[in-house]
Amino acid sequence: MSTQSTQSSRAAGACLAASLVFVFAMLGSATGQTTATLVWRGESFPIAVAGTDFSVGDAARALGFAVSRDTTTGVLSITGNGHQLVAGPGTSQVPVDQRIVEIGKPMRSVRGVVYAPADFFEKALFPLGKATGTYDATKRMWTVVESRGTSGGGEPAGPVSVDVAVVHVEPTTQVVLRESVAARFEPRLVESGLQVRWIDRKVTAPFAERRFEDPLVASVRFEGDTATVVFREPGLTARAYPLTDPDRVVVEVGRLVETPPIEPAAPPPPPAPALTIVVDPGHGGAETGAVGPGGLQEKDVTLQIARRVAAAIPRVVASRVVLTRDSDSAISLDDRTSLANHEKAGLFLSLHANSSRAAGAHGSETYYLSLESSDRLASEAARRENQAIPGTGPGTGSATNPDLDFILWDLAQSAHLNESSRLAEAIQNQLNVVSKTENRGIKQAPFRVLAGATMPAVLVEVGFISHPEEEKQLRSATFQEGVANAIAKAVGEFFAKHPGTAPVAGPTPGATPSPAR
Amino acid sequence: MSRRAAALLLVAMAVAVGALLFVNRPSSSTRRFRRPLAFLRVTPATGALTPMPGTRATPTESVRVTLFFADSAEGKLHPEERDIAKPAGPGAYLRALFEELARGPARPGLIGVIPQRIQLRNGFLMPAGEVVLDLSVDSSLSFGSAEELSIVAALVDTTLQNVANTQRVRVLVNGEPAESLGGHVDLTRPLGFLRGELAP
Repeated sequence: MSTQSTQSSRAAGACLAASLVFVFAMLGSATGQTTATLVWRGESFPIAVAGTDFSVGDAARALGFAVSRDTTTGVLSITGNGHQLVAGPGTSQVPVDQRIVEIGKPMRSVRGVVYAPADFFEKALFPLGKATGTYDATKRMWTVVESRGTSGGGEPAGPVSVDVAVVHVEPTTQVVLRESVAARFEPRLVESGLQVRWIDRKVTAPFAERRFEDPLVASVRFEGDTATVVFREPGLTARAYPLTDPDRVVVEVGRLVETPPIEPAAPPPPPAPALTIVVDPGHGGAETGAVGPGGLQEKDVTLQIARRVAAAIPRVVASRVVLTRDSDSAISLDDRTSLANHEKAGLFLSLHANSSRAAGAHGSETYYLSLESSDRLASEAARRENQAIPGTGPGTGSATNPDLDFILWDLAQSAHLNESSRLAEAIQNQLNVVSKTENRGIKQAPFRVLAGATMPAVLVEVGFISHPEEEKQLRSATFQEGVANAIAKAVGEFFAKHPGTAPVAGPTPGATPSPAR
Repeated sequence: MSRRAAALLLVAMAVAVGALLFVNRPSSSTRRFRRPLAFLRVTPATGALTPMPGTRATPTESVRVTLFFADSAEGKLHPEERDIAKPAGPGAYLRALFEELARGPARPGLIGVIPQRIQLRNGFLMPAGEVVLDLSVDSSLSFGSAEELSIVAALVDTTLQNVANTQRVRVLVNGEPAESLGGHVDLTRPLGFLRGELAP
């Protein structure tokens, strides 16, 4: 009996042990958690696996990235090689630096561990480590190797492409080398100029050499990983410093004796005696602008008033008035300011009629540009890179990158904000007196049409087309003439208070409006 | 094998099955939902925990969000708070905010500023504190500047007010960068909080 009982106990124990093994095996397979191996630089790392997904944290650490986990959301932040990747459970969109990489299916969180499908590693993680990887399902093994060259397969760790813009703001010239990614660089002053050599990265140059019509910089030349800013004459010096967002290296060139940098920009030179004022009738073509309850279209009102303003201003100020459009045509916002810049206009007046969903909204208001709500970094650039770029619009200085354009355009208007504010005030005061509309005051807003103007620029909302009473007013020739005279008088007042910016005089030959297109 | 051993094996198997059932209860997702989400800049709405009668308390968590709507007199923006179901991730949160804005205000005297013909195609939470809102905008829409400012400010300010650690909102139109929605507000660059549109 005792022998039989012992045998039974052993059998039972064996069965229990077998059952426990079975239980744990089942647990493992049910949650799908097991491991694979990742081979990188001759070392093997265990990577947790859930179903067909792999642990993001394990793989990232194996590649040498720093991994931090938000304990509340479980979102992983992976940093290294100057890049950042965010892996959040529940999404198939992976933010990598400023881009979104789309993967086949969402990442998921299992017991606090983020798992992602294979393409996450192939498309997002491995390229971040300048590597490529293949998965062998039979061996359950990732083999990760460094990408050939340093390009990283075109993913974020690739070469740095550089755009160039040259801006002269007396007494210095700034050469902005806009980078596709932030890259370490080494500046070196040589006799002919200043060299910027990028370290650790290959450089995709926009050109081999380009000459510039600039008093201090003759050309910019690219050779290998080095850009040379070539001085126009001896006796110049330069310094280079990095700025971010967008990433760029700014080379500041100045004369040795004049201690150029840091000083605020000199006031812009007085405009040429022949003053040009650009008047911009808002909207046009298919873009009707706001439409009133009675069917009046903003584009028509603005053109009618603009023509009256064009006739009225030369009666007050000796000037030539140019309209951005003198027909029902569509013009982009940037083209409107480009025209004003091209004409070297002394003022830019954009005319609009307002609308609001608020039934009670009525009256006139005058806007000038607000930089506050636009990219704070652009404002920082405005501060750092001095303020004025007289005569510089988009496209000058070989700017091919839109981000670079933003900076240049912000710089352009920021130099004139004070004058724009005074002009807005003068116009609003006159509108209040002459047209007796409700005064909504002067305001600032990030309006695109004001951003690129290299002269004082305002946007006048003459009344609310959405307000039935004001729509009627806006249709009337008397009201339109009153508004035009108010604006003209304000322009005269503005120049009277700013002697040196323009002559104040009577009628001038050639003061008729000239359609831009 | 004796009957006793066989019985023991059966018991062990039963334990195993029981353990499996226990472990495989829906767990990870609900646990994730119970935790506060780091991108939510909200006050937890404590009154929103509503256990179903007769069942174990299943918390349907909600969050309190601040939305901006215009007043019907002058069109300036005013905040309105409301509780919404806690969304599952940043994309869902941005969509929920947009939908609440589009739904309009509850308070009398306020009006919604998002036209029906503007929809949110997608919203992304990017690194470095930037949110991307991709709008579908009907080409027949037209605005005056006050109306356009209200729309953009309601979107931008509501987003920045509610999504933690964000400073800028980049607005795309129909999946692409655009100069503006209707000829006024600059969308070519990310926008910060538009304070000028808030009621004093």
